[in-house]
Amino acid sequence: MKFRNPIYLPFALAVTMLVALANHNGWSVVQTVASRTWQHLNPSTQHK
Amino acid sequence: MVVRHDVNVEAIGQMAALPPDLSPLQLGTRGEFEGLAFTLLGRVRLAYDEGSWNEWFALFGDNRYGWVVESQGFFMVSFEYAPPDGCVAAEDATEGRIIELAGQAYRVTDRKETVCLGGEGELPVACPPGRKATSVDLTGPKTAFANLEYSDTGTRLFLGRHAVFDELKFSNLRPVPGWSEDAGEPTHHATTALNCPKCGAVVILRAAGLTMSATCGSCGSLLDTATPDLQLIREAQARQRVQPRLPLGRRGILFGVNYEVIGFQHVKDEYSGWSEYLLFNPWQGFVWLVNYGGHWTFVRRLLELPEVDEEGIFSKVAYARFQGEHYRIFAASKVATDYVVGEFYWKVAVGMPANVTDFVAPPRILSREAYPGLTEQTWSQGEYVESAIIQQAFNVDPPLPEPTGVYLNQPNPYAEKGRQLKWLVPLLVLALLVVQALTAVHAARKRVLSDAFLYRAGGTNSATVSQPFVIDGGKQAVDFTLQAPVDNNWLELDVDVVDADTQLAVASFVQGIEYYHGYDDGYWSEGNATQHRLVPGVPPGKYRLVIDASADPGIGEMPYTVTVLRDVPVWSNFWIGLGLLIVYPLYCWVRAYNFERARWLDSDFSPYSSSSSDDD
Repeated sequence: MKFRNPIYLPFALAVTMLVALANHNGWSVVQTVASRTWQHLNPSTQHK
Repeated sequence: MVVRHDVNVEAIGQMAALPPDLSPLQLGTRGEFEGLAFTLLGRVRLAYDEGSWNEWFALFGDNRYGWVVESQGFFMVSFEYAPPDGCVAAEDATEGRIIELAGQAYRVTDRKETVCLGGEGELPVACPPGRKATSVDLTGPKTAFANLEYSDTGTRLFLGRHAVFDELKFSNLRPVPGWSEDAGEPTHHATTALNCPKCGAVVILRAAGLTMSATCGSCGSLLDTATPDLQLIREAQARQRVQPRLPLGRRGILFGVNYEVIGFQHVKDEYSGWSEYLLFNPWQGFVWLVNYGGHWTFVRRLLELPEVDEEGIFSKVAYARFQGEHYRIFAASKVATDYVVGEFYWKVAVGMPANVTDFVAPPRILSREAYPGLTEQTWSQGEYVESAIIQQAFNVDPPLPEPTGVYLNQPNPYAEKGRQLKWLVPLLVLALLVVQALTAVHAARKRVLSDAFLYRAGGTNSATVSQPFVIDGGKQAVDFTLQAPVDNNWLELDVDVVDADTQLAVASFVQGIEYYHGYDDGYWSEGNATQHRLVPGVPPGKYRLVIDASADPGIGEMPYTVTVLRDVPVWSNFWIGLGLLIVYPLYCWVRAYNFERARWLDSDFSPYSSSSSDDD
């Protein structure tokens, strides 16, 4: 059988593994991205 | 010539010389049919109004005599049987009639008046040139074939089945001039040159003996090539309107077979026109290439008749079924040839309308063609071919244009991807679910702090420090549950998670707690007295919370509690992963849907249209 979605399968497996890794380390992709974006847009804001 | 009466052979003298043809068979050719070897002993050549063919008399390995009929690259192997008592008369054998022969139902597909052009070798009956008969062809289940021949000598019945060249395992074949390497110059085309009776120019026949009409390259007159002197069928067309993209005489290897372009016709229906190229190979016979809008379809005539839902032919759900595959009706229209050039195996009738019904199951198409006034109904099957393959095969200059639009049997690239994704996506989503489920099951969800505080308005230092708590294990997500008895007011907590040893904040967040409700055309409420906040990736350690509270100006004092659960599952990762997994399949499915809509735009039977052709 010819595989017609050659990029999709490795991409999907990578996504699944990233989710597993993030879960294992207690990361939240949403909050990490939001936090980084917030810090990027507001460079003067510092942690106390 | 010799006439063979069973085992008695009777010589009856010489017959007229057969016209030349490009048949690869000859007397003495051996073959195999259903495990039985056979040898060709004799041949008769028969003609009718629209074409001619060879019938080879053969001796089979079980000492039976039979016939190998060779017509347009197809073969029918049959044996003679006694016709049934009360066999249908020739004039009653009309197209579509079902006749039972040897216990099997056969359908009449063709009835024609034939004339013998000549014969050679050993034959069971005398076949002098000019001998006339009525020939009725019938098809049975699968490739079963029957023929009833009515002549002065009585009625003869032949039963057998269709076959293709490769299946019959021929040997001792005749070298075909211009095609076989041992038959002369391999690059020299097998051609016969005759003169146009209209203008006198040389007319080249590329499949002499197999074709019935050709056009004069000089004056464009349509000529009858079945007659030795090229009788004029019709004078030149007013002017050449269509230039074939594949030049006549050009050879190219398609699907492993070397074909030569010998004919071209332009066909049109009520709305549009398309080009049809007749390709010829002496062993494989005739095939077609159909070209429309840069799209190409390779077409073969069918040996086996598809089944059609005749009752529903004008409904939106009519199907043809062939070899287990369903073909949906796409078009039913009257078409006519409006321009021809080259050579054809029938007498081309320019302007003569034909009823054509197309059924599609991309990349394949089934076409049924019937001419008013002719009983014959022909079926053909086509398969979409990329234009690059045609370009590579025939090496034409200028190169073939890129296809435009969506063609009726063009494979839908997104549908093919989508079909694969249909089973792949559920598997991948299941894998993601398993990953998330394992995370959720193994999450400790352990309460490490539950502390109560009191907010006081106007305090000099509103910051409060919690009891210390320990996060052990690895990095993990921590859930903070903040609760306050807010009632049409609000409390806001600015929380720092501070390492008890280094006094550095590892995380900070601001979380409001508000709850409002009332009556305004009914009861309403918004907000919640309990709020959750997830802090991801907290490293192990001993922590305290430093909380700076602020509140609605109307609040003087308000108690609130903070509960901390360590090692909680993070569901947002799962939802993001799920979204990423289905974005591409959704894209493919939408593109596939749009592709199909575009395909069916030109159809009166579109499954995507709510108005039917009946409304027109």
